[in-house]
Amino acid sequence: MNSSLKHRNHLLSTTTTTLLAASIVAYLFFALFYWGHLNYSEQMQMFMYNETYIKHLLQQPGGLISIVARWFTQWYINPWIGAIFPSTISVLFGFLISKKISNRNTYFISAFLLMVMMHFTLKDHMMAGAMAMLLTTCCLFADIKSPVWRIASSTAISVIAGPLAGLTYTLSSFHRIYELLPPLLVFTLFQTTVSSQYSFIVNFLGCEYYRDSLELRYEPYITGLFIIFIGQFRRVAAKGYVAYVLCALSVIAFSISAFTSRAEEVVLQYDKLARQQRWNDIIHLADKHPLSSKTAALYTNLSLAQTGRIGDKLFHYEQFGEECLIPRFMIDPFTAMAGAEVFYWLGLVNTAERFTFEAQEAIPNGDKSVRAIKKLAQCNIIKGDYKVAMRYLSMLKQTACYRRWATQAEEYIKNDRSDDVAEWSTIRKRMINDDNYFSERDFDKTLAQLVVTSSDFGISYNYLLSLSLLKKDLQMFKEYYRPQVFKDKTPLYYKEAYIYNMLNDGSLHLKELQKSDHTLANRIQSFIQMYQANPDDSRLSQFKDMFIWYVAYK
Amino acid sequence: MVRSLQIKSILLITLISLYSCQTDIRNKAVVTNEQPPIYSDIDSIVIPRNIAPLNIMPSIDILSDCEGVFVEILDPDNMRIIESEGEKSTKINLEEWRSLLKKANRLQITIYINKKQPTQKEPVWERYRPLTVFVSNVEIEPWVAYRKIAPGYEVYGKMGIYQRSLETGSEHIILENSKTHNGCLNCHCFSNHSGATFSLHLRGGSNPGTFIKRNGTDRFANVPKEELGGSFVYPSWHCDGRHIAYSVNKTQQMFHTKSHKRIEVVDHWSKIVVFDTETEKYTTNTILSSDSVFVTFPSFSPDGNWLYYCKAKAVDIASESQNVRYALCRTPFDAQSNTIGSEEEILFDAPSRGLSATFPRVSPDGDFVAFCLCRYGQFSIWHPESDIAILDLNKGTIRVDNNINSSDTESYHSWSHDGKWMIFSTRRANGLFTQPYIAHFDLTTGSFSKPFLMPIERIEDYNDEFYSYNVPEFVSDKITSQDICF
Repeated sequence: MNSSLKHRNHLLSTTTTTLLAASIVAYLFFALFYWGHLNYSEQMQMFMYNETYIKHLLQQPGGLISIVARWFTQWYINPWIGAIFPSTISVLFGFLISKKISNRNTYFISAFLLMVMMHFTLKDHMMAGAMAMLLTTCCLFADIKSPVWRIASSTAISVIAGPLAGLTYTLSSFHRIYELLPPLLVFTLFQTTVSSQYSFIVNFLGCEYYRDSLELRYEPYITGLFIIFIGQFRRVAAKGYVAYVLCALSVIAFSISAFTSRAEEVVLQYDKLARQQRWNDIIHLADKHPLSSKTAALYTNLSLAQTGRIGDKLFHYEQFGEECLIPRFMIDPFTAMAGAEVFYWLGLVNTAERFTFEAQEAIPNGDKSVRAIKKLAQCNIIKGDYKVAMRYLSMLKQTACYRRWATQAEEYIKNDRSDDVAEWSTIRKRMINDDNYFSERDFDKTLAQLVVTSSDFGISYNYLLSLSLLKKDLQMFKEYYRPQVFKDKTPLYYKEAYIYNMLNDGSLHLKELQKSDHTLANRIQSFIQMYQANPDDSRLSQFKDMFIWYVAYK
Repeated sequence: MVRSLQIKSILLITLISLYSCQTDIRNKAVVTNEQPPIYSDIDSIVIPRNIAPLNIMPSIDILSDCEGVFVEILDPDNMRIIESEGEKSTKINLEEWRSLLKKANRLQITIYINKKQPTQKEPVWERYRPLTVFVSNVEIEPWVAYRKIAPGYEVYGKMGIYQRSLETGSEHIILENSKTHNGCLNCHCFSNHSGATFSLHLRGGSNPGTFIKRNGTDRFANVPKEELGGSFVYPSWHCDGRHIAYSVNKTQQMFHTKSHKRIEVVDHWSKIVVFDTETEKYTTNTILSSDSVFVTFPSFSPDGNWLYYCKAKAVDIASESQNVRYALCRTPFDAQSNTIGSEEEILFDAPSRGLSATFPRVSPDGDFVAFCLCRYGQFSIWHPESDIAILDLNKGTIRVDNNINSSDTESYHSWSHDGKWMIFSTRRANGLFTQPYIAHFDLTTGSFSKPFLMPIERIEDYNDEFYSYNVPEFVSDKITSQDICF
């Protein structure tokens, strides 16, 4: 008797310790390392406290769980609060599974599930998938004996969390084949009535579980299969070797996934920092991680320009062509939004509005984005289209986390004090004066127009010169470069391009240059000598931060 | 017995308290002689007797300061009154509204708004100047079909074709693009307002093509795209329910860098063909298809004897997009022989006045043509200066009626079956989101009454939803998603 109690207490304390440890690990994982993903999920939706929005979600299969999941997701805006939800779900899930099997080895199995559940919250997964599977596991854990109650539970899960969850539960708990009918009936009912606007396949495969319903994700199916396996083959699952195999699988799968999504996470972090205008933090991030994508370079260059350092630092970071300065439009919410940020700060507000709008429309599940709506409101405030701005603000006022901002913005409009907001008045000053049709091909002309408009040779002028450098277009550089603008503080790369240009056309000799900028002249000279001797010389990599190197090797 | 009495007492107390609550509003309200600050003006409008309740919502700029709205609607001739109260909008009882409208010739609408005051802690009820709404005996079509799409540029997310009951204000889905793998749905067009015969384009997605529902069959038209140089675009059904005139346009979108205009849609070339849905062959001639002209926006006259369209001299769009102007023209059409006439009549030479005419629609009696007038180009939908004009075919006069036009875009318009009502799109609310307005048309004078915003069950949706209402078309019967099979 005493020994049994002791054993149970031991198990309980082991469970508590493991649970606590897992909770802390999961929480820290999300809060410290994956806050970019949390931010992305939060920004890609807009949870509105209004009847029509809720009604629309309820019309989807699994709409109820979708509403709950979206409600949680809105709090991802703060990673320290947001991280509570995915970590709690992950840990609860693992705990329920291990308790179901009642074997200490199964903590390894639960680790497997924990990892999968973590994935549910990354990038284009929506939390609804994780919550649907958690609900399924809760019912499985309840170990319902009565077939009537099992059928009732299965029906309820199908209604609340979608047919995929209902089917998973049924398959993991059924004793008789007719128990499979409820989720199928619920699904058929949904399909022929409220959800008839969705195609069969989209509905049945859990369209509410991930953002792009046309691109199936493997996690819900793996998790579903796992729950079914646990439900039907508990004893096998409880065996040590099965647990270890699953544990090994989880470690491998998650490591691969985490490795690949880590790069994605860094880019998502750039995105959040840019949204918050933390330009120095972006540069700091770029210093820590070598730039691996055009979007990261785009944000880094924007930050350099915003802090007045682009002319001195441009080639300190990897560049991948002119798209690192001027984004090309792509039907992708993330890159289009990054483009919108650049145009916004350049003062091309109409273009920023277009990119923002397109970014929102490119969200595959048709959700609206708080980020986009806020930016659209800002663009219209800056342009003076207050009625349109009010419409967007009115939408934001129906959210929990943006209500305050929207109310304040509305006050500025009503009291005609929008110039009091430094950001808006700055961009208003940068705005282009003449109307033209936007052209990616002739963007330098648009930038030149912006320079004329702002007449302070600020960000647009630096973009114009930097663009000529990234395009390796020295003619363009020559056309727009005005050394007197910088007085005695000419940025390094403009100086280098100027010298390189003069060397090319023979109008400047290096000896003359030595008199003015000794260090730069020596570096140019060394590079030229080394390059002419052997372009494959590995020592040339020491000039990687020079424009001349970019011209030669990129 | 005792239990029943208890229930009755509770009900009575509830009713009394409700009434006293509303009486309280009336007594407490500060009376002003100002026009009520409401979303979409309804003063002096003319409504059909079978229209859905006109719910009231405070205007957007004061919405956040409002804590309640109350409306009393009086039929002064029959001394009947109905009321409705809500936090942000009213929800007028449909049965009470119908019963009131049955006999009323005019309504007197008094609006109360509970508004926060800058100097006071508590909000104050304000009663505004009563408004008059005239009730016409002429009933309107029971349904309107339209597309809902975010008012944007090139990318589209969720969109769909929907139908709304004008008698109840409720909406249902005809087809959403979630069913076509996020393809584009556009140019829904009905033959004689019938929900049994219509066409619709599906672009991209899982089922691209021109969908035609006719004689109980659903199919995709066999469009000779290569031969035509493109797909069918703007449609118009002939009254025989067999022929459809389509334009074929090579379109491009351009984006303004600084302007309150956002987009310019231009045609590099365009032509019109008449498609026979039975033989799946198309007909055209040099009037409707020539390299020297742009021809677009076909519209059959209700008797089917004329094909109306808009025509411009072809120019190099890259350099002269703002110099393209379209004239309003027509040519005879014989459905029996499937022949397009060889002569053309220019009804309104808009380019000579520095204007461009688009989207002609002939009234059912054939006496009037409603069309859009803008400064240049063909896509008046994105032109804030675009107005709806009426050409009186008997007198040859053009009238731009101030009653229905606003300082912002008026674009797509559609006549009711008897020509006594028109529904049209306008961006008057804020310059971006298009909304459908309905106006009464007086066939004798050729003039419109003041229009009203299409009533919907939840008026807040006009503000909360992210969509524009495109191409509103009156329809006589209900269409559901089950009616479209592919």
